[in-house]
Amino acid sequence: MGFLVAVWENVYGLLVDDGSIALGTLVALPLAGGWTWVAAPRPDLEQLGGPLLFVLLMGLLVVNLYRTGRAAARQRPD
Amino acid sequence: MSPILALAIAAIPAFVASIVEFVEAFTIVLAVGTTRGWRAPTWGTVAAIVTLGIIVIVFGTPLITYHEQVSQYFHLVVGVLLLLFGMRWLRKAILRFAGIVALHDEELIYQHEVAELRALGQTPNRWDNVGFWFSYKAVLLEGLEVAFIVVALGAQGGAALQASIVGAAVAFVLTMVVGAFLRKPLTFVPENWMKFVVGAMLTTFGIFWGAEGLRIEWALAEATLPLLLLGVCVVSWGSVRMLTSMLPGGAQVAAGNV
Repeated sequence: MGFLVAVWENVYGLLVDDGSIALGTLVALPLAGGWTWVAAPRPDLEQLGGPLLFVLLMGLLVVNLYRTGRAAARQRPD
Repeated sequence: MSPILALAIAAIPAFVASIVEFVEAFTIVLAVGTTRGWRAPTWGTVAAIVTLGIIVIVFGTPLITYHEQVSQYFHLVVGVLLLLFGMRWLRKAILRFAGIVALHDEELIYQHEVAELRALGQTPNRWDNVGFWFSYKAVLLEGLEVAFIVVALGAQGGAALQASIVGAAVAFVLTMVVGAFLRKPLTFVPENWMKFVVGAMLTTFGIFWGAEGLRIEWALAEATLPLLLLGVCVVSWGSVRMLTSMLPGGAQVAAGNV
């Protein structure tokens, strides 16, 4: 039983280390998809869907790292 | 996409990720072998590799078989999985570069495993269940990440799956041969750099394929890939700088606490 629990934790841990990154990724994709759908009549704007996805995901990563850094600073003994 | 580029995209991350994971597994197998003998851990390793092979076949074959029928959704699913996995490795590597999370210390892990195995006692001249299961679990649990990457990267088609399997297999053989020759934990392997490279590549492919799955067209088609990779590297470098300025001395927090 302990082995199966370890396997499950490992499989889940493959994809989710920090819940906010996983959730943010799942939100960023439909946002970029929605942009493409809304901007469909304007091909020049429609093509910004990919760069928008990149910016959203990198922003998510930086914000998450900033919050992690601040949390680590609070944990660090002075 | 050119066939050679497609094969390289499948083989290189699979090879680099497999080196990282098999080095970690080797440390535990080595600890078992040196404290309890080599017969049981060798069979444990073989059994785990066979299990991983079955996992790759079970999940990889349908992906390739139904690739054409579900091409768009398939790109989206693979893109999401690669993004989740890649961002996770990228984040962890950045935190380690910045000193927020302690680096993976194979020597320390080896000493810890040896102490734990010695405390369990010996079973001389008999089949060593403890040695078998210790090795089996170590190789299987570390190898699950390899199996995931092999299937996700190889899902572009039969040739890509073969390329990613070859990448992982070469990494396994290389790790075991070097490990067997040196008979000590492979502390010289730059695990964090390798994790960063894999994380950056998988995040890049995840963004590219995820967007294609949403019917987003890239203006430069496949030529966008190196630009995305460059962008991911620049953001990562900036993040390391941001964190080192926030915590100049680092924090060395345990990986599970962030």
